[in-house]
Amino acid sequence: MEDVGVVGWAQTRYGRALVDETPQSLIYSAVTGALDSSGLSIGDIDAVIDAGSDFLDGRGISSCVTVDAMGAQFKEESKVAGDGLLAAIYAYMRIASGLFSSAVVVAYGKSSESSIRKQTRTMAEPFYLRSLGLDALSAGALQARSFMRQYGIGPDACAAVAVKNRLAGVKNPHAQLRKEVTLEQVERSPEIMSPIRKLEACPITDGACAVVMAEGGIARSISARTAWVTGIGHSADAYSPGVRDLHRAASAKRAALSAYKMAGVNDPLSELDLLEVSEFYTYQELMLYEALGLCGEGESADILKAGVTGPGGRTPVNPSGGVLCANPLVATGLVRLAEASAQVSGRAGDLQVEGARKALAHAGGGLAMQTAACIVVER
Amino acid sequence: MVELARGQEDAREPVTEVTGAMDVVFKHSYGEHYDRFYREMRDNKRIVGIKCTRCGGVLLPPRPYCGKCYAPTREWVALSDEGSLLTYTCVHLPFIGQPTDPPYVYAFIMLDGADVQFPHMLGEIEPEDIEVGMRVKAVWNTDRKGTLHDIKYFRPV
Ligand SMILES: [Zn+2]
Repeated sequence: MEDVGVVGWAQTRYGRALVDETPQSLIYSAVTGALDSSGLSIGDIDAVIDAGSDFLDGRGISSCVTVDAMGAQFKEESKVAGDGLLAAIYAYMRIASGLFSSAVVVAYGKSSESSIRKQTRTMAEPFYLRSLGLDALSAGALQARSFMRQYGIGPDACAAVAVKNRLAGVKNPHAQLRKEVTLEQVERSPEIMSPIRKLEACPITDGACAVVMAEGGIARSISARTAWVTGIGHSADAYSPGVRDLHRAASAKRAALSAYKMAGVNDPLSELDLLEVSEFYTYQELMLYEALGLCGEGESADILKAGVTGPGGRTPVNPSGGVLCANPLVATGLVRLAEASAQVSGRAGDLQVEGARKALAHAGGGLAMQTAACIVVER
Repeated sequence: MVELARGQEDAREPVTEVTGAMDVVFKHSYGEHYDRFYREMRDNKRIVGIKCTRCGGVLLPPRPYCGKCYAPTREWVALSDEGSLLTYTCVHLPFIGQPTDPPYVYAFIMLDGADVQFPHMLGEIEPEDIEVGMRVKAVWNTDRKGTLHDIKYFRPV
């Protein structure tokens, strides 16, 4: 199998509603930015893998529309209807197989163009859950309570995740929300769906992200600072939230185990220098501590409180501020890979975790974290 | 719990389907390039294209990049509202979203000065008299709103 490295990445600006941008203009700026940062040009690229949601886009088979903007004319182009991190896994496999030598991965979303609440409601199938109007937020809220009750996690622990991530986001030039919040502000923000409060939910974000991946020979020839992909994993739990142990992120655990096994990571807490995870709501980051192997069952609030996952901690989680600071839906997980790659290659600027060599990027999808994808990158 | 034996269901009518309706309204941003394109049509009755910085091709609709070269575009170019008919179809079938009742004619036109085809409709001509290659010219609406329908249709010159 070929070595595969992440050699370039770029994020567009993010905003609640980028009315002066089309999906195409966002894609073009992300892809050209990622190519520039890699030192490769579009002519060097074999494959383009994109992630988008036709429903969010309001366009059928949207990749037909976005081909030009992605630089995919007459290249091997294919689309993932899911988070962009999954697109990165597809690109990894294409290159690892030896059939392709390089790929552009791009993901984008303009959640502002329609109603995100109506959009996530369609994730519920029409025969059962949809009749209740169940959407991503309400499914998340049901899971939050189940998790908090199972392990005696207090609302203050969840709120503390928002405080930690929003503070980190202040230093992130890409973040949509760059203002810190206090514990009191989080706990006094309106309860939008109990137990989730307004400041515990991610914002609605327009934007795009792209990464460039290449096989070892190319990566070594263009840069001495490649983020090598050493582990991948993805996993899907049962569709119906009703049949799952809601207090466990079982698919994230499986995805991480695959990635860790491949990367030879035995103890993530001591071997990883940081993690970038997809926490759409505060409680999810705590659940992920457990699922991604940073702590034992029910210990997530303890390691957060002890500062293990905070800035300067043993294993910082979301030094970028995470999804609570920007959620360019569909690109959300790919952003985690861009941030993790920047960290392990020492190019994270103000966000740099000192001496970072190995990191995990995580993406979540579906109602109440049904699916997960993980990638380990290292220097 | 009461076990129900087969054939003992108390229901008489089968439950067959649920009506699904999507009422999602989209506000698609035009962005910088469409904004200029449609403003020119509305305010100046002018069709504008944009030039690729690499191949020099004049593209419609205007966009930030040339898909063929994957290079940025820069220079705006005013095009003629006259051109040659490249292909057409006469629509007889009614369907949702039509701009007018059938029969009517869709056409691809190469405007003078452009390098890509412009999609629109033909008018003031019977379908049997249309010929590929014929010269056509835009007929502008008086009440223009900044859409493709600021042009009523193209008519033979
Ligand atoms: Zn060109």
